[in-house]
Amino acid sequence: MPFCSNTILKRVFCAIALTTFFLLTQNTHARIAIIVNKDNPINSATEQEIAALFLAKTNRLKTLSLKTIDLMGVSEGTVANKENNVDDIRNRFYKIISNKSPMQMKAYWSRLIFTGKGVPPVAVLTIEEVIDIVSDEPNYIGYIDENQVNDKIKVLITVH
Amino acid sequence: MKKTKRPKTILTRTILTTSSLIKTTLLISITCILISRIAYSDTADMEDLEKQIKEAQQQYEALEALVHKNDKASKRALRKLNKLDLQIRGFFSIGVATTDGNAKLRKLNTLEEIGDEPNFQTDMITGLQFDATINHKTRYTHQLTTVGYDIDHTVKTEWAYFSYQFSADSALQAGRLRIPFYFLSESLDVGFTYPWARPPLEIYSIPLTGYEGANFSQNFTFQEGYGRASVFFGSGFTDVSALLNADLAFTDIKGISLDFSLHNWSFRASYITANGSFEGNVSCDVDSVNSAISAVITSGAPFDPKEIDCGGIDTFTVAFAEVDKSITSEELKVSHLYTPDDWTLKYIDLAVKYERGAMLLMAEYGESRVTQYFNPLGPAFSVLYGHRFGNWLPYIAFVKFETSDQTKNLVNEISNRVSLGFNNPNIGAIMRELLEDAGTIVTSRSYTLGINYWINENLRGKFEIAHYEDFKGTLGNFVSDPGSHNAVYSLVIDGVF
Repeated sequence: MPFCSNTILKRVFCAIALTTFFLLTQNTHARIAIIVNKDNPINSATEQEIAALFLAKTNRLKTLSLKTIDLMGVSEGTVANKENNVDDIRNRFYKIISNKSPMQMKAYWSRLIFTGKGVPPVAVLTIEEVIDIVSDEPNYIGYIDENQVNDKIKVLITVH
Repeated sequence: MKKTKRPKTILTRTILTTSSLIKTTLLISITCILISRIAYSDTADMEDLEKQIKEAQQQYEALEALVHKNDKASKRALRKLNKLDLQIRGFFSIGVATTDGNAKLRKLNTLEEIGDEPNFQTDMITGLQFDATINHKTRYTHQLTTVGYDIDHTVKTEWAYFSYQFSADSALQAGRLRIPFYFLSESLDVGFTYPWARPPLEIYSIPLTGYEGANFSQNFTFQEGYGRASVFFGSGFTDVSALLNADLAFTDIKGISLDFSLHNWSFRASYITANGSFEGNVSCDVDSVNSAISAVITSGAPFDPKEIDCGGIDTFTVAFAEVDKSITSEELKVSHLYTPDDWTLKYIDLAVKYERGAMLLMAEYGESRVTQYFNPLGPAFSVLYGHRFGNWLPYIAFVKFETSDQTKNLVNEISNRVSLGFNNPNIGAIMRELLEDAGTIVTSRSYTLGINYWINENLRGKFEIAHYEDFKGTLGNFVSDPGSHNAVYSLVIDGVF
């Protein structure tokens, strides 16, 4: 980069500018972990398999029938949801697996529900509740912030 | 999706209270043991004390494990309670529509007509759905709707079925279900699920929507895609007396549908056959039919089925019986060409949807065919392209429809027979005109420009202008002569809750 090699001052400026640019272009969100019970024999899954499960295109992952848990919180946009970071995780998760906005997802699920083509996932209030159910029940699958993964559960894949 | 609050029943509270009590009692007990042991340590030697503390620790760990086990049991009990749930959801649409001409657009699936006066009834609908989980394999769903154009505000059951999950991939639904004629047929009432103010009338104007029967579906995977194959059978019945002065029945409905999605693509194909008939007593004032036919034949006056006291298509059942009285040759009798109580229907559908991020593309080819009866069914094609900008979704759409050759041939044959039977080609021509004016043959092309706005996650506002043209001398989807073109303006708000 010739511009950045003239003087020390310019080099420092460029270093700061490049670092700032690098930091700004990085997604600062943590990855989202897809979790199952520790006793679940499945150890990994692809993003596509997870998408199919959470979009009710199938109930099966590999050979197992699994029930999905949706991190709904109280309601989109409420203080409780913001405090618990629920909206952010949920919206990012569906954006990653389906490239759909929350409104598109609402229309998608409405079509399935009102035509008998899909049963919505089990809705929970908090990430703790997702971990709670998954660590207790062998046939459930959920998604949480990677930072909140603990040794009670097994991570199949992390997505970003 | 509505969050279901966990029920705070007496049982739930008891379980939670018991769990907390055990924890509290345990902590108090441990504290008391430790205090007594420390007091004792003044006189006992240190080794003995350590041994006792170790024992106390072991007891504590054992009790903690017991509490943890009890906690798990409590939570499982709670979840079991939650699984026995009843969920209530709903949807609604309110809207206003008007045309820019004198001709009224006919919404055949509702028998409503949109004219040049603002119509607030035609798109109004409210629905409530109850989903009850009976056990982990069996559910019951009941959906009730009421529509704005029904002045009696009758509550109708659109869905009422049990579903049984044989396995993760296969399920059976039995009861009252919607007939999946086309891509949006099953969700036609839930405007929130599609961008149109109302899906193309050229395709979706089917008076009968539901059937009593069963549907077996099987999920499958192919390459990287996921699919669902369904077979269904049953029979349906509806009261459409407002237009036809008879009840319409579809019997022996048999069909197969296939849905497949691969990445951003969704595909749908279906094939349905049914026998159609009008049931009940068709009571027409034969004198009024006679005089109307005489007027058409003698003076060429325009024929208006509404002038006759049995209205609509069934007028022809009576009208042609009267015409046949004047035709002496048995071979030329018109009524042999159709059977109002037994006609055959076929519906074929091919649809594709591409949705990637902000882009939306939907295309559908639907073909309906009828034999042995007058019905303007035929092939139709629609395509919609939209692009999302934040909460806005502007879209353009194109629809083309033309009555099938079977119906056209039937009209030609009737015209020929009447010409020969009366030995007068003019009368045959009048008969053809009479059938065409009654909307038996339809050609139409429409362009729609619209926009959706998401007011919030549960509300979707829509405004669209649909421009209809290329009627080729037919009425298109209008009740009276639409001229060379006509436009329909619609403003609709759809919601789910």
